[in-house]
Amino acid sequence: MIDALCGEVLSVEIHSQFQNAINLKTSLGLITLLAPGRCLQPYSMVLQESMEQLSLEPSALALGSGGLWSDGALAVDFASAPKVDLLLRAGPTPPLSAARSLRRFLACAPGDGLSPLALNRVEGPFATLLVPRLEVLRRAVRAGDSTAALAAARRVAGCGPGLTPSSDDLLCGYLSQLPRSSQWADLTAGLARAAAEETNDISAALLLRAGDGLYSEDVLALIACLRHGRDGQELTACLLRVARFGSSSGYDFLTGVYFGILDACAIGGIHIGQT
Amino acid sequence: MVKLEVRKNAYFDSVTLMIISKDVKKLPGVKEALVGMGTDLNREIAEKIGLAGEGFDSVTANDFFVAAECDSEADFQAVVAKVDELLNKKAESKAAAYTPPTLEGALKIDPNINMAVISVPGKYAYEVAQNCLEHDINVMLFSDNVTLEEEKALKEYAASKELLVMGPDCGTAIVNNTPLAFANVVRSGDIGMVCASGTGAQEVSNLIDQLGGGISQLLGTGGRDLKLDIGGIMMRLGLDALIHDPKTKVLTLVSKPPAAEIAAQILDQAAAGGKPTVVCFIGGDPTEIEKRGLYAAVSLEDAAHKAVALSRGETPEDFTGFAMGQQQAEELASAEAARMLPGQKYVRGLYTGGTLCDEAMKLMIGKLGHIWSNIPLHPEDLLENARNGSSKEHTFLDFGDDEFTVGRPHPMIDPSLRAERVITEAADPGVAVVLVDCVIGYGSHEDPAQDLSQAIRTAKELAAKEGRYLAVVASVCGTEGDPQSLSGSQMKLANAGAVVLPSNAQATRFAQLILDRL
Repeated sequence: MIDALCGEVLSVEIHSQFQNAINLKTSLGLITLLAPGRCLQPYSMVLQESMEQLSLEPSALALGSGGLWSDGALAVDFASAPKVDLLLRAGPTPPLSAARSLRRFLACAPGDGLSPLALNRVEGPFATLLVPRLEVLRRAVRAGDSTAALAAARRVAGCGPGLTPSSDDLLCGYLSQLPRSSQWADLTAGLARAAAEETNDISAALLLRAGDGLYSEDVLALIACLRHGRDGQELTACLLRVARFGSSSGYDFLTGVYFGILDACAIGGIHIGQT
Repeated sequence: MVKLEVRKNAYFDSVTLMIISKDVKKLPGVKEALVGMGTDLNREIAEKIGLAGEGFDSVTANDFFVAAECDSEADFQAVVAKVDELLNKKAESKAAAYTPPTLEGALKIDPNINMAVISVPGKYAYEVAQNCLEHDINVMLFSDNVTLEEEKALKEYAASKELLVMGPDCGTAIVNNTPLAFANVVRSGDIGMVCASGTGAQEVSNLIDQLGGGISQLLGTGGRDLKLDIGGIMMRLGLDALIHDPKTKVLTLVSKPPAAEIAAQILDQAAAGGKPTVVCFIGGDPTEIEKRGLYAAVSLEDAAHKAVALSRGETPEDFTGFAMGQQQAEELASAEAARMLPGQKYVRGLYTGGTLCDEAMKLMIGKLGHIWSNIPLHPEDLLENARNGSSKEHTFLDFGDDEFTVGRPHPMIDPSLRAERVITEAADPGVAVVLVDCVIGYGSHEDPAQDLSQAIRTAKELAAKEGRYLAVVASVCGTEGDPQSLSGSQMKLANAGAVVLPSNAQATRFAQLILDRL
C-alpha cells in the first residue's frame, strides 16, 4: 500500500466502519484501518492505539505515504510503521497430507459456513446452490480451461449470509493454492476480477488482493506451513489463527484452501488454455 | 406474505449478520427468512426459496437485506424490530472491551493478563493451554475431550510454575469475585472452595450465599483430577493456595469420592493446613475425613451449612432436614401422595446438572435399591439408549452427559430436550414423581424456569386427563443476584404446580417422602 501511494496524496471517504476496522474508499481501492492486535491484511494498517481514540472527520480525509490526515491534522502517522511484504511467492504445492490435516481441522468447525463441503456434506440453501457451480469451476481449473473457469467464478461469487459472502472467502482460499507461475498468476487474477464483479465492495477488495497474491500475515504463515508439510502444534496454531477471522469467514477460507490443495495436486503440468 | 427490508449501502460485520439470520427465523409467525448482502447469487437463492418479493429487483450487492415469509404484517414488523434491536445492540457493544483473536494479540493489549478461559475443540485445547502456561497465564480449561496424558502433562507443567489448570471440562470457577463460565453471583466472603464438580460447586456456593456466607475463591479442577492417573495435582495446588490465602478462613472441598491413595494425600494436606475444612466427597465414607479432624458433609447442602457455621465460629452439625420443617414436609408429601392412583410408584429424575443427578441418586439409592441411569451408580444399572429409548422403573437421567449433547448445546444452555422428557415421562402411568433441577446463573439459558414450567403444566395436564396426579419436585440452583433471579425462577416453577425446595438434597428427600407414602 505504501509503495502504491508513492508520494501521492489521495482523497479518502469512509466506506464502512466496524468495531475493529474502518474501511476507507480511495482510488487504490479499499484501504483498512485495523484495531491494535489484529492481523495485518493487504492494503491495511494496524493501529497502535484503540479505535476509540481515533477521531476522523469524514468530509476532510486525505491519505499519503506519510499518513492519514483528518481535517488538516495527522491522524495516523506512518513514519515509524514497519512495512510488511504480504505477497505470496511461488513455492511447492502442499502435499496431500496437508489436505488431510485441513479436513480433520474442518471437521471441528462450527456449522455456519461452507466447511461441511470438505466433509462431503451439503447443508442449507447456500451450499445446495453452490456445490454444482463450485464443481464446474474446479473442473475448469483442473483442465486449465480459462474461459470456462472465468465464467464459473462469476457464478460462484457472492453466495452466503455474511458480510463477505461465504463463497467469496472460499474462493480467496482456493486462489491461494493455485500455482504462482506467470500463466497461472494471470488466471488467478482473472478469476478474482470476475468474482469481484459479482459481490459487494468489501468482499471484492479481498478477492482482488487475493488475485494479486496478497494475503494476510496469518494466511501467509499458514501457507508456508502447509507447503513444508508441517503438522502438529505449528500447523494447528496457524489454522486456528486463520479460522478466527470473521464469523465463518476463516473456516470458509480454509475450506477453499482444502479444495485448492486437492486441485493444485491434480493440476501438475497442465498449461492454461487447454480444454 | 413475503416481505423485504433493505438497508442501502449498509455493512454489518458477519457475526452480527449470522446472529440476525438465526434469531429472526425463531420469531413467531416467521415461516422462512434470509439475511445477507444482495449479491446476485444470494438473490437467486431468495427466489428459489420463494422470498424474492416486491422490491427485490432493486437490491444490489452492497445492500443488506432481510427477506421473510410471515403470517402477517405485524409479524414482519417484529422481524424489522428484531433486526434493529440486534444492530443497535452491536453498536452499543462497540465501546465494550476489545476482543483480540489471538493470545499474542491479547498480550499486546494487556501484557499483565494472568488468567485465560479456553473453550476450543478438545483436540486443540492442549496446545492452546500450553501456550498460555508458557506465558505464565493461569488456565480455566472449559474444553473437554482432552486426553488423560495431555491433562497430566499440562498440570505437571503448570504445577512446576505454580500456575492453575482448572479443567479440562471445568465449567465453574469464581476467581477474585469474577464468575467464570457457568457460575453464579455469590457474595464475597471467607470460604474458599476447591471443586472437582461443576454443578456441585454451584450448588454449594449458591447455598453458602443463601445462608448469608460468602466465597473468597472457587477453584475448579476438572472431574478427573482426583483419579489415580492425574493424582489430584490441581486439588492439592488449589488447596495450598487457599491455605496460604489470608482472605480464606474456611476451606471446602467438593468431589466424587477419589481413589483412597489420593484422598489420603489431600486430607492430610488439608489437616496440616490448620484451617477448618469441610469435605464433601459426595456419597463417600466420612471416616477418613473425620479421623483427621475435618468435617465430612453428607450432601452438597450440608457442606454449605457446615462451611457457613465454621465461618461464623459455630460448631457445625449435620443438616438432613427441611427448611420448612420436618412435620410440614411430611404433611405436604402425604397430600401429594394421596392424590395418586395405586399403580403410581416410580420416580424419574431429569437433570441438567450431572453432579446434582449423581447426588440425588446417592441420596435415594439406600431406599430404592436400584436406579436406572445413563450415569449409573453401578455399571449393571446402565440405561441403554437413554436419549431415544424409554425410562423404566426408577430412572435418573443426566442430560449433560455425552449421549444427550451430541449435536446439541449443554442442557443448561438449551434445556428443551429435558423439558420434552418431562412431558414424555408423564405419559407413563407408573410414574409418581418427576424430580428436576433448574440451574440458573451466568452461562445458563436466559430463563430455564420458563421452559420447564411450561413442560410441567403440560405434563400435569396429560396425567390428569388419564385420571392420575403427577407430582413434580424441583430445586433451583442459583442466587438472587443471578440474571434470572432465584426467587423469580422458583415462583415460575411453583406457579406451574411444582413443589419447589431450596436445595437438591431437600428436593430429593421430599421425593423420597412421597414414595414412602405410596
